[in-house]
Amino acid sequence: MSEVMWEQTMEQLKEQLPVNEELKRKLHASLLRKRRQGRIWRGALAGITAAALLLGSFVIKPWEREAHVLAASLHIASQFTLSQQLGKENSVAVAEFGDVRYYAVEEEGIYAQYNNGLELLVPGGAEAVAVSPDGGKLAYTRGGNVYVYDLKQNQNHLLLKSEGAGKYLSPVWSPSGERIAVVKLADDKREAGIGQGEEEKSDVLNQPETAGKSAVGDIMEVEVKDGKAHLFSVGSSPSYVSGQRTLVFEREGAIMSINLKTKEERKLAEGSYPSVSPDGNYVAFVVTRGNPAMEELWIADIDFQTRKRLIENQLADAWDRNTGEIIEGKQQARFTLEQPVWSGNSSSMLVYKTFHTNDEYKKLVRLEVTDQEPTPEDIVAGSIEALIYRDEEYAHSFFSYDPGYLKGTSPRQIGYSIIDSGEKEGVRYVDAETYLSYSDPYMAIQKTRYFLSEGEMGYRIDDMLDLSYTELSVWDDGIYRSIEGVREEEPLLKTSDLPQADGWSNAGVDSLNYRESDKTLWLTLKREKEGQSALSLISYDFTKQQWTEWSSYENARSHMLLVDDDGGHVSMDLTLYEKAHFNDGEEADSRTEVVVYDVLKRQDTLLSKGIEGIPPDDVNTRFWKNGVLVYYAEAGGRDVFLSYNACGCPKSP
Amino acid sequence: MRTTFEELYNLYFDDVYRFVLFKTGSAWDTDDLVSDIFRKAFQSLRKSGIEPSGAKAWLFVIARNTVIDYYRRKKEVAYGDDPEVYGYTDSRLFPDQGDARGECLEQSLKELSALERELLNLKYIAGLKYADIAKLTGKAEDWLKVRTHRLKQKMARLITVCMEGKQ
Repeated sequence: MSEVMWEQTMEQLKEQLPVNEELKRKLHASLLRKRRQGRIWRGALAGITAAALLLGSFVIKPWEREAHVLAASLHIASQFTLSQQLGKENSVAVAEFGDVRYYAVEEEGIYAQYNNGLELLVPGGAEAVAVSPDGGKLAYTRGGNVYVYDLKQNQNHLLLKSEGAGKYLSPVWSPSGERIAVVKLADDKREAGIGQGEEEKSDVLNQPETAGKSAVGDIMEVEVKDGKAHLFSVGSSPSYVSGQRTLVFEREGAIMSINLKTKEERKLAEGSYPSVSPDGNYVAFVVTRGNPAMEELWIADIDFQTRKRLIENQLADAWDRNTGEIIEGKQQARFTLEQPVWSGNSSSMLVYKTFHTNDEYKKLVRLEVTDQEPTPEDIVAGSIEALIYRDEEYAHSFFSYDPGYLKGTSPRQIGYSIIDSGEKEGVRYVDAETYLSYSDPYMAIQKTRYFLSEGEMGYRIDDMLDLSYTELSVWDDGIYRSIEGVREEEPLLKTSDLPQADGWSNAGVDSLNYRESDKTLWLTLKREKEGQSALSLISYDFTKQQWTEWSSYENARSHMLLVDDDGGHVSMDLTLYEKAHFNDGEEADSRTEVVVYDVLKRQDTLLSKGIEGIPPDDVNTRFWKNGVLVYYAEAGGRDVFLSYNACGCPKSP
Repeated sequence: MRTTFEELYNLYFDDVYRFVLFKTGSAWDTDDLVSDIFRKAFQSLRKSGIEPSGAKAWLFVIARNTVIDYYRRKKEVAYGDDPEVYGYTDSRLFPDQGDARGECLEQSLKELSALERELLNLKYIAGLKYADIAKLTGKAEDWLKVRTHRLKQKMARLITVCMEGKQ
């Protein structure tokens, strides 16, 4: 299609969107009448005086379990959705060992994700993946065959070939790494969840079909060295118990165990998708309760001495699967859960969470498990962090009520500080500042008091009280502060106060970030000289009333400026142009970079240089925590979160 | 020099109206939303001035946020859905005009993702510059240009195939 035809097509499109001229005329008249009321200007001159006490982020320590902790004493320390585009999860199975996560993507194969990139490790499709106890091998299925991939040798071999129309599914490794258990699905057995006839389906989109949702078939054990297979039982979702010759599995909505020596079977509990932690201490599983059916994630001791709910579900409007519309007066579970699987270190697990509305949204969620109960500060921090990661649904899980829509867009949440906490008239409260910004040179500091109480699932937020809303924004003549939406009459800093560089003229501020804790304003300042353009990273210390020039980038524009917790590193989302050419012409040649600037060492790092595997299309920053920058890149059909450890800290967030 | 409300209204009313109509697919909802958008713009403009160069982007920040709020109130938005691309759920966007080219255009639109429709809307219906779209969406300009180019290619291909099928 020629450019002329494209323009004609777009014109045709616009013509089919007629403007309501009557509304245009009436609204104009109505609004301009109001204008005669005149202007009211409220404002007060004040310096930046609010002294916020930065107590640091409240982080639950990683699980360092020495003695066995009962399942009933465990809590979720953090929950993290593993794709930036929430709901667009494209993997069908996942496994994790150390810092590496393996995704099985049906039509594509197995991807490996590291802290610094994503790689298509085994191309050619995959339906399931499991990592060996030593992290050295993968077992996966493709087309119903079982393969073993040696990660050290990069060698692949076929272990079990499917016979006829039957196929193998759900491979799991034995604790010794010598055997693999699989489910053999005979050709006359359905694959549940997809094999149900239309006539059996409810009109409501999401009535979880727990029993039979996972693949049911013969549970086999196969020797890795020679491929010899033995039949053990019938069921689905097998999982070995470390230190025992025992397999836990699901049959007809029950969690079962089988002694592989004696073949003795025992029913342990009602539930589905059992997954035993690699240390053999716990089993995670899905429980379905009530009507409408609500799926929840539970954890139990391996002997089911105690158990605890980790993820609770909520009722939501029911959706009609045929029309894609809400059914008035009917409710359904907010989500369904599938395939919980433990990471190699037994301290975290991954689970698929699917939301069924007018469309299906699937998330892969990673849970960190701890034996420390989250404090009220942790709860508030968790809810704000969820918003920074754009996870509205997870943010709501910290509330005992529906708080309404919390997620910002322009501006959006970029950071937070817990500034105070205590108890007043018998009610626990936490005061927090949330920082908001977006691609404009703008920042808001929203101070909120959260009221909490303790219930069955630990602390939850019962109410919020807005304490203050302060904004910093850039205008022609300076950087202004607004309080509660009212801009102060005098700027905090005049444009003429911005530092000049020899021979260069200042051409405006691109991005800004203000840190109350050290009263420092960070800016990216555009400068121009005889056809050249530069972007300077500068800061202003309000206490010392002193400017500092840090770094400069040729032909660059910035879209976001983030500063880490202790002010030691600054990250910038930059567009770097080939030449000083900043109009919006189609042919401008540019690339996107994230740059991290180390304030102490006075040096910068281009994050794209450290990305390995699939070259990313787009790289963006998300959040600094404990000296680690979490950023995301679009690669391999997913927006992967990667991390840059700027402080040399031992553990990523 | 600051933009007056009158200038803002006269220059951009049509763009805002078409932007919202393309998003919602409903003229009734569009009338309400556009009224709301210009009321908000009117009130904000009284508090603080806007430079002409940034006026359109400023107005579209209000427009997008108003549409996001509208979908949130309607509870039609799934958890996890990206609020930046709310809307575009109405498949009956255009009346049947019996025009093959129009039908192919509509069919090709249905093949676009919500993000692609949003880009199409911002660039070609609202007529925003890449720099303004970058400000609105937080995406880099070059990323937007690449995506828009791919979008053009995709639509052109779909329309061409569709037209060939009708001949």
